[in-house]
Amino acid sequence: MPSIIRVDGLVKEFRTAKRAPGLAGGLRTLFTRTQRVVRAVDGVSFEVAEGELIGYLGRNGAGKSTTVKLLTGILHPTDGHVEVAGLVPWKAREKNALNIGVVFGQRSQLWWDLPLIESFDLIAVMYRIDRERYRKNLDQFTELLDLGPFINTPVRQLSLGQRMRGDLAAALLYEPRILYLDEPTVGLDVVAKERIRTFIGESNRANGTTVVLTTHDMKDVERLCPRVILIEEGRVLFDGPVAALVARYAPTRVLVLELADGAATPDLPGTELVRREGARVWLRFDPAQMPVARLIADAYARYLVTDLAIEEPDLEQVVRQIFEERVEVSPKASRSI
Amino acid sequence: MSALPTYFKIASLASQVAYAYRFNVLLQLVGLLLQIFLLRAFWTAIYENRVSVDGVDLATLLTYLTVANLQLWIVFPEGGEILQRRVREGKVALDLARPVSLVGQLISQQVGFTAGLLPLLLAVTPLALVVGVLRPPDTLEAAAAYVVSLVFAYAVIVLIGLLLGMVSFWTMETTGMWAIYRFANLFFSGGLVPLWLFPEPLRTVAGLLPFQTQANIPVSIYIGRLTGVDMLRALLIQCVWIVLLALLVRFVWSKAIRRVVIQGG
Repeated sequence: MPSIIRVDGLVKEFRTAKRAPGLAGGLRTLFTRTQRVVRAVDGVSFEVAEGELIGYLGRNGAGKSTTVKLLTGILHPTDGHVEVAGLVPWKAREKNALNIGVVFGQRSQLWWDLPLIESFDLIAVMYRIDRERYRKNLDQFTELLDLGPFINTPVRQLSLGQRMRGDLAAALLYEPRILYLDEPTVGLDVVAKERIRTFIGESNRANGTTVVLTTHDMKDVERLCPRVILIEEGRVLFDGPVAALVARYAPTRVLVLELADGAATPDLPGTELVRREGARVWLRFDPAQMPVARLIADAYARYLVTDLAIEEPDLEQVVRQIFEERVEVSPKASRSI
Repeated sequence: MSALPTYFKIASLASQVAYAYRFNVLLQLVGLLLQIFLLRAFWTAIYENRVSVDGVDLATLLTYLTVANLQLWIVFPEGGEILQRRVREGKVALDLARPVSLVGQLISQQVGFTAGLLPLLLAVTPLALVVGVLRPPDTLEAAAAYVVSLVFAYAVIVLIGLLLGMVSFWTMETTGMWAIYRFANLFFSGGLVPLWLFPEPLRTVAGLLPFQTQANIPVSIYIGRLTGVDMLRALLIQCVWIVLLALLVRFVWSKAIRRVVIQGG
């Protein structure tokens, strides 16, 4: 698959006026122009193949949204090169817009005061969808996202979940080749999240839409993204399959044992006791050093085991661990964005 | 590929939005009628023992003020306010991710909004006859020229609105600027006192500002105070402002687009 998105050495700096605290500081800001340069994106490079679905992850202020805005052409970069479907987004912003769909979880593109269907009608005209295709896509989305009950309701009266379904439909009605989703599930309940995820996955699978998804919800990533790009302080920390991320940052597993003799402290080679709760103990081990099967055999051979389980590290935990470690080692971590 | 159908559709949606706020709009219109009524009471008292001031009789003056205030209400820089709001809310990011120009989107929204308000204004106009004084245009020719001048006035205000709205790309604190604009526009357009009654340095200042294009020029044509060569000269002044402001909008927009910093990103 050829790359549909190419990002090379992308840098975006923001200049913000430095403001001293308090009223006096505020007044001084009026007359002096002390500026502070913040590098929100600091040399990011990656490529996305057509039809891929990638998770673009990072903490608040890590530079995720800035990258998405650079890819959509809304922001001009300080340095670096980007090509999206053969176009340089900020040089051909309006042309690029025909190829992309954008959903910002926090901001709706729908017309607030008018029934949902009016926003769809405008999109049909704006993106020059012919009547038949519009009809077909609208019917399909109405069914998949269950828009029927509220398609004629003014957007301001919709719940967050309904509005988000409307926004997703609006972004995909014209079958864009690339879909940028910036926290599409933020603030939604579990059922609404699941529905959105199913729809995103379906659009990617059935129509081959390339999806770039930024999110803080690791369930989104586990459900949808074979590949993730992790960024921190504007730089790429990791780019690869989720499994490789887990293997690299969380190579250990945990064996949970419940012993008939609650007081015994199990002593198994290649393990380390991490937690204990009554008769239950948690032992960390590295499956590369100590294969799971051997460990389990060992445990049964030495002790009277009443219950046994292997805990896989979940992505949430892994990502949290990566960021926490970064705080300790990075001297620049206190820098604000 | 033409963006015109998109602009028509945006204008049509904007007119529906105006209608969605019809009760608020009607309330505003009540305020407008009150303003016209107060101006009438005030100027009637000033005229008390005089037949005319500066060659203008009371009924003509009151017609000037009534027409001026009706049109100042409908000719409003909505586009600029929309832009300011979209920048503040960070939604301008979505507008910029569209395959049609943002300036085009704003202008069509403003035109649509005005079109949506127009029927409401026309419904109220007969009442303006009661609270104020509203005589028909001076001549048929004056009526035709008035319509042309009104279109020019509208173009000027759309452009001024865009300029004011674009200031939001540099600073979020634009409330004070809008307040100054509103007062300057009401006063220097002639909405409270006709420009010909301004004392001297002030009258020259008013003549150098774009606000005279908003009320004074079209309404002076309406009441027959500007005719012949003077009228053509006034229309030309409006055109000069349109060209100047359009160039300025182009220039400022080219700077603004490079400066875009989306709020809360």
